[in-house]
Amino acid sequence: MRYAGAVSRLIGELARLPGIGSKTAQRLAFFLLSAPPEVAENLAFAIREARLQVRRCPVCGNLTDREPCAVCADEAREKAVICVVQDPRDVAAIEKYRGFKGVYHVLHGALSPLAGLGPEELNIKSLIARLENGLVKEVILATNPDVEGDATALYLARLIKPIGVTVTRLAHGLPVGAHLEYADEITLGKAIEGRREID
Amino acid sequence: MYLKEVRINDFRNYNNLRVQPHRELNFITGPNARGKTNFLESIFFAGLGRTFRGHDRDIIKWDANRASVQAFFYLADCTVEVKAEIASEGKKKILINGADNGRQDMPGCFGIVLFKPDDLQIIKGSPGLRRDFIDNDLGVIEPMYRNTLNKYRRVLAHRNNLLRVGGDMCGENIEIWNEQLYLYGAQVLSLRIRLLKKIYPLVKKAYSEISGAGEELGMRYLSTVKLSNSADAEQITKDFTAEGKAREREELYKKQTIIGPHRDDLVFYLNGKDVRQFGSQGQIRSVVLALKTAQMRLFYQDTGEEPILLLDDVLMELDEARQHYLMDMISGQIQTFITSSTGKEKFSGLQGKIYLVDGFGMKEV
Repeated sequence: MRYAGAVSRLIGELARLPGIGSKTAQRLAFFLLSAPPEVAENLAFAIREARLQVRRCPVCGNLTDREPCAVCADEAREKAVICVVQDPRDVAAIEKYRGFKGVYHVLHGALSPLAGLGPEELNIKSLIARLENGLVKEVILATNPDVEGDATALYLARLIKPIGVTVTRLAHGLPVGAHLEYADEITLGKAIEGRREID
Repeated sequence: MYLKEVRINDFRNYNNLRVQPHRELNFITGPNARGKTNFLESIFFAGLGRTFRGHDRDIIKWDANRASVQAFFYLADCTVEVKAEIASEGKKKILINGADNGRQDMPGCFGIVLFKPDDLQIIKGSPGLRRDFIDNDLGVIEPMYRNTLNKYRRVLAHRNNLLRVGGDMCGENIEIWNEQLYLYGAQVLSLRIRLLKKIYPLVKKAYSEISGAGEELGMRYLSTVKLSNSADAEQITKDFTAEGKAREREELYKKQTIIGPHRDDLVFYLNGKDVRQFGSQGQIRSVVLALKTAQMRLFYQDTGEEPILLLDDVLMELDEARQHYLMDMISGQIQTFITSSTGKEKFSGLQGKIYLVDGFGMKEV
């Protein structure tokens, strides 16, 4: 079915968003068109403002509306420990845990020759620059535990170790509170591989 | 295990079908291109979470958005309900007793053994077909196999892309992928060797049962990686790493990964002679039948459950003696689904049900 030009353009734009198929896009479009005008205006305004104000933090690369970002500007954060993640969402996930007091570095992706992502395309140069002042003691590589994330971690480890900074990788294994019987074989295998002595 | 009931929705040419098959023999007949194989495919899909021909998406009926199969298997003394669904954008959902098992691949606990006419190509066809036999047919009994193989394939795809695009400038970046290539490649090799060691005595035994005494079947895994007589993954990683390093220049020149489990082959011998070159049609059929028999027995040996056998248009391809061998082996033990456009009279005296497929549904006759 064809809609009038403006409607069909709206549906088209919405359908480009991740997780939105053509049917959901139609539903959203018709909601916006039938709701009071300010619903659509507020949304448009919010998107525009966010897009204008939010940029990458010049230090860590995380998305922020001020420079440097809140974490980098926080005096209480331990600047000697940098946690390297693939995505701004990973920062949010680790922040929820509250136990991490260091700072972050967001790569905006992982090495993936199939997707045309090499070291140049990732936010790596500024990470190395941060290590040069000698104040950083540890870099935690928290890239995803998949093929691309592991390759990225390996690449970074080889780059960083010669500088003399300790490099660590997040542990793999069973989630806390999980029952053994529900764990899949792969997770269990990793957990057995990474077992620790009780002290 | 056996299938108690299957409910099919918008699957290939079936709109809505509900079948309670016989515990032993189910003979599905009807003219060509009416959906005999489609029915077998639905059982396969419920048991293994994928199709055996084309893309998974292709199973969705042409005018529908999703296809689903709900199957009730009798397994380990209880009924297990599997609901497998695929939507037109390719997303699969598999619920076991109503719970999402969270992964695309099913655990290997559902034993479905499929024997189709193409399988006769396993011996003489390209090495890829023999690797597929190991990966798809044998791999299901090793829980880690599919996952490890997928990781290997992914690393391989990245690495080949880098070799192709980067040419000889990419030496340093290739390094990063090497470690994972050798690690996962070695795990795949180690699991393959373990699987083949397990199945070899069974294939050998089945072959001698089929052909009578006198011929000895041999089987050898030919790896492009020189292996030092050990199936231990750590040792293989060392072998693979050493060989990979030695041949890296060649790879940079050829712009692809030239050694690894993706290039390996499996060779069969009869009394020491390569079956590919010297085997007669009859011998080749016997070897394939022995492989399928061994696959079924291996599943039983590993899980204590008999698998379900799907014979897609293949029984009539075999001669009388081999048909008898197969029918004797399954009789009374293994639930079997046979499709064929002819040969109905052969089954009229046996324990079982005969179904007629007419393009719209399936009726017991």
